[in-house]
Amino acid sequence: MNTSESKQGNVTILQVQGKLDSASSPELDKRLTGLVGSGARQVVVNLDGLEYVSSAGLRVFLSAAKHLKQAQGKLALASPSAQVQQIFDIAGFASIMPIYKTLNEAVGACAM
Amino acid sequence: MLSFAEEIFLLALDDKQGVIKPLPVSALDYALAGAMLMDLALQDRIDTDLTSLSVTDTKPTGDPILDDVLRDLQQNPVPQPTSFWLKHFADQSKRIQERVLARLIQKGILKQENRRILWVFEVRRYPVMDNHEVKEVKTRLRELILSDDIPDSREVVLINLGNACRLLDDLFTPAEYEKVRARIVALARLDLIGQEMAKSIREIERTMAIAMSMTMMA
Repeated sequence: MNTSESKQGNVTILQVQGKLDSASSPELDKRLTGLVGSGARQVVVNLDGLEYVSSAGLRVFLSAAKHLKQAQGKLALASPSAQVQQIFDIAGFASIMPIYKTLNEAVGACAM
Repeated sequence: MLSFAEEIFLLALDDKQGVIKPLPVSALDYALAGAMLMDLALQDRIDTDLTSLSVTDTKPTGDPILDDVLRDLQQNPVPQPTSFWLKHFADQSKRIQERVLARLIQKGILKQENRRILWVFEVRRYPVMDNHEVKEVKTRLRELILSDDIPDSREVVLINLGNACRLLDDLFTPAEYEKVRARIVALARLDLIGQEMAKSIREIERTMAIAMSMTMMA
């Protein structure tokens, strides 16, 4: 899994590529925790390069959404593949965090 | 901290009577199996997806019950779906229940009492000695469900287990429960192992209902 970070206004964008499983989820968890710790409050995770997510990966998003909400911030997910979207749908993640079809939509919603 | 198997056992226990509350058929068997797998998942020993469950770390957890489960999971060289393992461990539920009970007694949370009914039948009961942990869990879950807070992974598992065994309605008034039912269902879905466990319990209930209706029609 590879991650890279960028900013658009007050929105921090974390690009995630590869597989998110028990081996790679601690790294993403650390990255997201670090962002919240450094003051980021509007965070979009761009998933267009994410090929796979397991239960361990889902827990990372849940934890980040919780921490951001506690800090009066917001986590949004953007452009998941059909396969990843299917897992989010089965787990009902849209009830906890918004999932947008495109990065622009997600950034626009978080910037408001 | 209690294991999920211990927590669900305590939630399922009627504190005053010292016996397990009436639960859906096989619910406790599958809830204990699910509890052990979810404990291993949260301790990063296993991972799951929509098709299979895999062991990701063979290091013992230090919990003898979980470590036996972890060893058992490693015996099968071919990855199996979560539903396969839920049934496998649910089939061993009686032995697991005895081990969980023994541990709760050893921790001073429950005590064992043997009583005779009609001077003949011996009934074993497990009155609660120290229920502060259960009270804390119930209060935390109630507050979380009534709020719009996002749960942590541990809370998701407890909501899932409690909902699958239909034990969460005890935490609310009937009017409150009606209002929070949809949120409970949404939160319980967030864990994939928990979802499989709830599905297994529902399938058994459905099969039993069909069998009963066929018996009544015959």
